[in-house]
Amino acid sequence: MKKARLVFIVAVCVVIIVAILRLEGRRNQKSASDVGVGTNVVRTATPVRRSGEGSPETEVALGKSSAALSPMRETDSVLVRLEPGHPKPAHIVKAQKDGAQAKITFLVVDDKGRPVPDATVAGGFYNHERDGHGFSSQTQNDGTVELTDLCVWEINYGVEKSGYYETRGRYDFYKAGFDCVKDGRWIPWNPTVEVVLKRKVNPVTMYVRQGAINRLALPKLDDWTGFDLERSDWVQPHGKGKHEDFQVFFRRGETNHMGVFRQFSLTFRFCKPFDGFYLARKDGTGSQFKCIYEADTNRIYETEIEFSYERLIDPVSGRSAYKNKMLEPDEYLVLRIRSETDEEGRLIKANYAKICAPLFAAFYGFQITTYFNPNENDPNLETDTSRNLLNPKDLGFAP
Amino acid sequence: MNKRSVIIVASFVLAIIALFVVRTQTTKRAAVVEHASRSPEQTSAAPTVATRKITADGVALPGVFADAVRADPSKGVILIEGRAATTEPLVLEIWRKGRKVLEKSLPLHVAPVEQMYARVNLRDGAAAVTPGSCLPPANGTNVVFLHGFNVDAEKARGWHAEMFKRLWQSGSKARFHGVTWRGDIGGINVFRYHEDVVSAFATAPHLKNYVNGLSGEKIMMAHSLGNMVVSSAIADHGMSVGKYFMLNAAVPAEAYDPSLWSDSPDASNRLVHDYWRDYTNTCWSAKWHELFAGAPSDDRGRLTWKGRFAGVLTGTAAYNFYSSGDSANSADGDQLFELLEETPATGTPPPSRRYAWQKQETHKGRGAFDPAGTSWAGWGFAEHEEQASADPPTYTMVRDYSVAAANATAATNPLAFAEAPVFLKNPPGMFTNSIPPALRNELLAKGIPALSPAAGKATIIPDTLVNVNMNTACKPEGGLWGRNHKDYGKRWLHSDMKDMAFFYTHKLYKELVELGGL
Repeated sequence: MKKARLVFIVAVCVVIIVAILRLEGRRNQKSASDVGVGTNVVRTATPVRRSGEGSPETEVALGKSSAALSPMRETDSVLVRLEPGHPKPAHIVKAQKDGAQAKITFLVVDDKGRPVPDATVAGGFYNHERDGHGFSSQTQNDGTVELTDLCVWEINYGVEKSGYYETRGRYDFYKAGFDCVKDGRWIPWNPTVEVVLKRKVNPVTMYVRQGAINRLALPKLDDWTGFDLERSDWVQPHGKGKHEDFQVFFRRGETNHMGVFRQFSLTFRFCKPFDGFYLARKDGTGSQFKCIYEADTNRIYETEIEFSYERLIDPVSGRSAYKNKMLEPDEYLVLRIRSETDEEGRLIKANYAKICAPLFAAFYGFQITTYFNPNENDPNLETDTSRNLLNPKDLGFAP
Repeated sequence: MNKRSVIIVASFVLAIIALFVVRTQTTKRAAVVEHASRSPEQTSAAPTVATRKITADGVALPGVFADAVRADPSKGVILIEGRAATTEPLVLEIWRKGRKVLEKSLPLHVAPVEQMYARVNLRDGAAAVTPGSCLPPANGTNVVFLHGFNVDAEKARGWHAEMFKRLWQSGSKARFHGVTWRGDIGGINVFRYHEDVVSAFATAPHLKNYVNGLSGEKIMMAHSLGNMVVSSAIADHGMSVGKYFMLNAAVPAEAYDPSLWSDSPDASNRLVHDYWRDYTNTCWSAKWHELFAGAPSDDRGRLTWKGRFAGVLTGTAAYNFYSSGDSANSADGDQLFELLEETPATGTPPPSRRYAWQKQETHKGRGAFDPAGTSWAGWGFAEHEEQASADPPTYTMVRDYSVAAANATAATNPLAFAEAPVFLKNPPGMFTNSIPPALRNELLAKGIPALSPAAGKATIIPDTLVNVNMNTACKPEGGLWGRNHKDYGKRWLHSDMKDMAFFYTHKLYKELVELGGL
């Protein structure tokens, strides 16, 4: 009896809470609508194009769960911009809550742009983590795979195949600020998203230092200190290094009682003829392997670069401002070092290496991420992640 | 449940070079060989391994096992799990032709893991300490760990046991102290985050009392909202610790690094509620404190997260272990801290943890019925009732300021907002120049939105803190990960330091032990 009463009370409470929540939601929507005028929409001249998005299809191959939907016309995939400041249309809110049909075609190509058949495309259509919306499919001979399911927002995917580096990514069906749902479907309907699956070509075992967790002592202050990429350390007597691949000049500002300095600069200098660097940018494919396969031996290799960092604090507001010219996470340096020339000054021998972020100097030490290919005249920068010549136990680095 | 479960007092390896054994038994060898031949990827799905109970009568090692050891002395690992408390040794006997030719004893002390460290309960205020009754040898250093939000007393036991074991297995010889605090207020705690922040502030002085009473080196570690407790203890109460490891810290980054506070009204500032985009930022509750900048004694000038825990950075050496999320296309951090390009909807269906940081900050002031909201200041609007129609008389809530009126006031007489703000004018105690510290903390928790991401999301103040991205720096070979979630892929999520098997997270613990000098 007591139990029944308790159940009744709980049920009543739930009903009241739901009612209040709905009222609250309406109130919020009303408040928001005070901001602008009406809910007019404006057609954009061109539909939103995101990387990999293909043209909308005129004929739709319906997925298993969309059989009841009417065919899409080309114009149905044109995204319409919503008037800013208005509440989100109810059909989009519903799609984000309960889901709308989503269809997408992945085109998997290798780093040369060739279709990759039999690659596994796996992941899930996001549905508030509900089960039953995962997928795992193989690409066809033309590198495509077509997927359809209910979705509330985005699709997360990973593409794998033996002999290739894994690529991960996400495609948002929901596009903020646009009327991206029509007739219970996300539009554009069935975009083609290209996914680059980079090949494992020739991974080389290298000397690798992971700067994030293996810190070195700071270099000598206001002076040049040699750095050995093979040992990934300062040259003796400042470290265990023996071969000076480049030099680092370290300056810093005042320190506080904790040894913290808010300003420093690091200048890298390459002294031997033909030694030097060029700055490269990691690709945005979502691949595990984000760098180039080989150093470009024909590039001009610069001989000096300065990195600097400064944090200024406004004495009144206490706010900091950064003047930061460090290596960004998506940048890296390609190095040519240990160059040797013949009698006529022509390059006959060199090693290649790369330096990635983090690159930083602070009271707790010097962070630098280095990859050194020990093979002479081998510009290969693709690293075997299963072995590390610097420290066999220190794995987990990116290729 | 943990009390009943008994674990090994110490993992150990017996390297056995045996020339003779009495009997042959193949089961164990098959299991060992199967495990050894698997790649790490394969072992992520736990193989079935035959186990055998060792009784007082003993267990004969299989002959093939001894043969394998003889062939390669580096092989021959026997994993032993304690099934009951004991102080009896494990004895290896070697028999030949019915005669015992050698006996070696391995002294053992098998005890419940919770007896191996101090359990500190701050749930009811001052520390109630249960000292471990089977403490392992220690090196004089103390490591004190606090769990995060939505962890009840039972779950806390799991956190502490796991942290202790993982640190121990990574070489720590420090005395471990597992601290439980009330970060799980209410029946449906997941909707009471702001209350738990208040609780964190209230717990801080008790934590300080306990930690300052310890002798020896003191190293703090906290996960998620536990960092609010620790940071307040250091910055507000003078807790003295040598090092402080912030793990997935659920604390506004601006509290440590004011430069990360952004008052940009631009759409790229994802911590501004969408309904406020057209209001000049002078109207925001998060900037209200600036109206009182010229009066240092006015407590209203301290109602900001900006620089709230600056004292942490001068009081100890801090380390920020964060997780970035692993996809190039979703660099917004891990599952809890990722940010949407718009205000996450009220009542987004479960699981509510997605965009949790953004929700808890942008829904402040949006109403107590909002599961992620509060009824204090924040992004709520000051409103009054107006008669909508005379007959029958109906009333509607109208904002005190239209956008135009608010922006005009901001331009001409911003000080008018001191008494008549655009934001929800609640609670009354906020609108006075003398606000008790406890209320100030509560106001921060419930009424003042952060304008920065969580510290556990990205690098902060690299000149002062060691920052380690667990998602990229702490995974094993090749970014190997034991979970490929359909929605989150192989990202290092908020509690993965505990939830993922030690095999995948051991680099983190190794780093903690090395950096902490444990």
